[in-house]
Amino acid sequence: MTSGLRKKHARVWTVLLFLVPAGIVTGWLAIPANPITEPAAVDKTAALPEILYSLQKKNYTVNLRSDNKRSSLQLEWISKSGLSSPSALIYLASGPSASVTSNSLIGRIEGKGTFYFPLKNDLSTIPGFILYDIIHHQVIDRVNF
Amino acid sequence: MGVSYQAIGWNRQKKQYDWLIFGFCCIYLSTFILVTAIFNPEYTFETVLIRSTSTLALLILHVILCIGPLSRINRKFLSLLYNRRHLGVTMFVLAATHGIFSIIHFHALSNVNPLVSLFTSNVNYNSAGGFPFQALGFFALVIFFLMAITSHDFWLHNLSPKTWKTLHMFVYGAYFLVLMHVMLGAIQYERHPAFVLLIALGAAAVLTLHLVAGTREVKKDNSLFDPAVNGFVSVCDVNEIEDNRAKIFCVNSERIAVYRFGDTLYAIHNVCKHQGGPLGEGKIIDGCITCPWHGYQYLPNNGQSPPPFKERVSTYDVRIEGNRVWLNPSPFPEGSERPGTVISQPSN
Ligand code: HEM
Ligand code: FES
Repeated sequence: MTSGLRKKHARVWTVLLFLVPAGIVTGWLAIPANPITEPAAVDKTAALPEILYSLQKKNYTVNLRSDNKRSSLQLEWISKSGLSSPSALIYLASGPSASVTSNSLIGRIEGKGTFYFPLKNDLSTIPGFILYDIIHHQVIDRVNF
Repeated sequence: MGVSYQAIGWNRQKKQYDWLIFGFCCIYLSTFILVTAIFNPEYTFETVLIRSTSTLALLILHVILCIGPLSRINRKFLSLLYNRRHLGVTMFVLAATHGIFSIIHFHALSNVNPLVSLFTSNVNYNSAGGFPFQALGFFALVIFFLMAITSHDFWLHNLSPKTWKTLHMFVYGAYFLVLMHVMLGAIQYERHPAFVLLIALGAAAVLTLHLVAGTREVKKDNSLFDPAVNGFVSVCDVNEIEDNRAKIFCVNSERIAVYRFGDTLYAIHNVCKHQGGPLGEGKIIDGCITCPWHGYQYLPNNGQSPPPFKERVSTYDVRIEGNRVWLNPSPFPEGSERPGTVISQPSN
């Protein structure tokens, strides 16, 4: 290396020495505090026996399931074809035009398949859901039974 | 350039490296696909392809960035340096596969042009967590693309080594872009701490190696010599230089290689005309000083590449007094014939 090139390298790496850790820490701190999008939120246990509500959409079917004592509640999401957005999040919607908040996150669905998510057992109102595209930060669809 | 460039068998070694890279990529990708198929059968093939190629590209990028400082720290890594270019092109192909499939997968299904969608579908440019991280990946990919298409020596000569090297230093900027692409993208929703830890460890390795290699170079360049006597600086003892090898001295901030060839010492500029490789770290093969990076060759007595090649480096005067080697740091024009100096009593 010529001495000029050595100096350039020294300058670039001095800058990166600060920029890289700062970037990593910024990204790390920006991670939302609430547990979002754990693919593990997919509850692999069997479906609860009763379907309380069901909704058919073009690409997916959504069922709200419960046991016969109504002691637990479960969301069953059956994706028939891959979604146009491969990583979609499901949020609980408090009303027909509610927006997404990290407290209301239920889980993530990927491509085709059936996904189960346990829900808090509160049937005082029928829950609605928002399908949200995390990549584009856009609502894909709303599910209201 | 080196006449014996082909003959010394480095090209066979190069082929072996290419196969090694290819084999490793195949094993990595197929393992990734297989493991995903077992544990996450619900993932689509595109998703697996996007993730396997991106993580492999990121891994290779780290290796590429570590090769430079590693080969400064230990000569054993020089053979990796020789093959870094192919590793770079491989990394680009993987990153491009990831990028192109991401664009198709995430943006081609709407009625907006996918490239427009890439930049406009998310405009949270003032937030960290929701930052449009894909734009960062896109710019990194553009840099990798420019580097990959100019990687051939044809471009090195056409653009001049200086411009070429400057262009290729953009890889450091691209590295930072990729890092932020991942930290503000996938890391925001693949929240497992192991991912952040892996990224941090990778960055720590890259930074530490550059820091260590850099400080060593600075130390070498700052070694002090006694003031010049009649233009000559006393640099070392005669027997410190092995036959067919050199010692490098940084006098007046320019590095000079003093080579011993049989019983004669010669001094030439340390910087190879090809890509600035350290000539003093090479050795004399077939009577020619051979660059350790890619094998360009120069005659010790005049700094000229043997015909038909035309590269020339500066030469210097060197003298022996008693047991001391004295070097004159004023360069002669590139390719100037210098007689060198004969070691009267071979010291070993
Ligand atoms: C046009 C350029 C690019 C686009 C549109 C793009 C897009 C994306 C998207 C959408 C994701 C999230 C994928 C998911 O959640 O499954 C992602 C993740 C990632 N990207 Fe890129 N990217 C580009 C360039 C690059 C480049 C040049 C690299 C460099 C190696 C890279 C490395 C990664 C890595 C390591 C991840 C995390 C693992 C993953 O989720 O795939 N990307 N990228
Ligand atoms: S041969 Fe490439 S730098 Fe010397």
